[in-house]
Amino acid sequence: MKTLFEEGDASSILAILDLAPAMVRAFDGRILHWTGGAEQLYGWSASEALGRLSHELLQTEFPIPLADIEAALLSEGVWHGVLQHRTRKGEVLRVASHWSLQRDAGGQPAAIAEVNTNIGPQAHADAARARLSAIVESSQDAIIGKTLDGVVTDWNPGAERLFGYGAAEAVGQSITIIYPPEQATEEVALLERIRRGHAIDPFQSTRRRKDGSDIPVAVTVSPIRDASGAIVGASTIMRDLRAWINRERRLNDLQAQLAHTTRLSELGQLVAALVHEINQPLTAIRNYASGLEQLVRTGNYAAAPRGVTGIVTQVSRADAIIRRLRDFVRKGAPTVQAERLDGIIDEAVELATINPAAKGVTVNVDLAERDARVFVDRVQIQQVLFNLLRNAIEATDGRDERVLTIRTSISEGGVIAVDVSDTGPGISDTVLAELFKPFVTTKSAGMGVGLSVCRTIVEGHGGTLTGHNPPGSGALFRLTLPTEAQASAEADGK
Amino acid sequence: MSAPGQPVRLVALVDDDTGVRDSLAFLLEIAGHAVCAYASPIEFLRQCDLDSVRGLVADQHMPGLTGLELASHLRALGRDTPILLVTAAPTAAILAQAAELGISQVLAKPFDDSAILAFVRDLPI
Repeated sequence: MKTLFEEGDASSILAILDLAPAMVRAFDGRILHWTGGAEQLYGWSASEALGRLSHELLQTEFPIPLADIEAALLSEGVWHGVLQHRTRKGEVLRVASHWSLQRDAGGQPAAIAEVNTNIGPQAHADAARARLSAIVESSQDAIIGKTLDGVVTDWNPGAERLFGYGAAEAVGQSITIIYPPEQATEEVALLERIRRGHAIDPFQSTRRRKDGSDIPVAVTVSPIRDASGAIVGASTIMRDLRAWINRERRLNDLQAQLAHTTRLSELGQLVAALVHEINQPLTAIRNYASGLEQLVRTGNYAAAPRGVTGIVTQVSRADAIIRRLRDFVRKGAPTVQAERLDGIIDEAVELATINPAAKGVTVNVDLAERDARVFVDRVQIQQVLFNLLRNAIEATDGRDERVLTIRTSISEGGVIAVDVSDTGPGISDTVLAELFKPFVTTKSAGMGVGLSVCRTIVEGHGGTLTGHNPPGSGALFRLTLPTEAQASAEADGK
Repeated sequence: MSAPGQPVRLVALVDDDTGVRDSLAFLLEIAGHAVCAYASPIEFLRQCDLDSVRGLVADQHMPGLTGLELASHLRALGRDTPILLVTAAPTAAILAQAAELGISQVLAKPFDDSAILAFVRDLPI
């Protein structure tokens, strides 16, 4: 028996080629050469394989009749296809097979070189397909296949659950059965883009269920291509957003509640301060009234006007305190409107300095522009300033110099900044790093939600809130707020 | 009440709250006492002739010196002037310090004016 490669001139190349699972066989199928790679793949050694008919040895199953393959091979010189082979142990292999026809000097077919690449057992491919199918079947998301004309071709159980139509009902129908009528044009646009091969980024939309109710969904659409790469349809994956939207809403509610709770806890502290503050006029009123009672008893009214005036003054004072408290407590929806910044600052200073802890504290207010207006919810921004001032008052407790400075400045862009600084010890480095995180506090009695809620409020207004220690003084907090002009410019831009 | 023929001696009031200070002066004057009122301990110490003071009614929470600090200062000056301390929050610490300084009485605001009237009435002439 003569092999094609019995000479040793290309031995090094052959050594490498020997690693590939390959054979050379005569046109009738007898194996002439059998590589080490083939031995490894199939289990038969060269001595066992040589001379055997390859299709018998490997129990080859062909995708098309062998005669057709041989015809192709004779006309084209090569053939590629997927074959099924059996190993010596009986294991079924799927191989990508590449055949190349060798002709002798006379041009007659002499031999076939066959290289086989294992692409996994048939079972593997089937299992992969089955898994993919199971994934689609068991997906919580609706997965829908449709033609480029929008006719439903595939409808998974997720789609049944989400939209209420069974697969039998939906397949063959237009996809627009799940559209609210006013949104049906969306589908036309989608299909047009898919047809042009454009990818469609996930987006949020509304679809209509069989029962007529509309649901929010996240939609992903991608083109389906056939083996040649032509776009033949589109797959749509839709996720029910109801639970997600509910959770978002609940989180927002919680945040609002937290802001309110914080306000209430501040209110508790404010009430303690107010109790003290309201005790003062009450004490005075009681003294004046007792004195007047004495005068009435003795019939000597000469000093009476002083007592009466005193009572009237002190009642007004108590009334003003209660009014401030009522304004502070009032919650309601935020009402954003143009407000004079000086008024907001003055009231916040007044509220913050009611506290007995503020005794001996000097508050300097330095306004860049006396009647500057900001576009804010007055009560909320007052709450922020109140917090900053109260913190500053606490920071200066026990210091020789207790000075708070509120300074406003207006930048060229029309943004107004309010700086609240103090003569306290400044913010420590550890606290500075986490200043606006919830539940970070330096106060023994604080919950540490004040600054984080403050920042939420300020950012909700389109502003910023930052804190640092400027050289040579205590802490400085800077709050920026949109001015009226800026806010209306944004509104016009929409 | 000062008896006729006796030299006029004063009840001193020290409170930074104008309303409380003025109303207390009003009440005590109607009750027949001579009163001098001061807005701060510093003002009191600077302006008042301590020899003329029969008794002192002082607020605890004031800028500068607290009521207790004022009392401590008076004691350091060798004055055993009867003192009534008024405070919004009579904490244990305040009461203990008050007792140490020989303060006759600590009243919580808002107080019953009869307690102050009794304190003043019982002062040595």
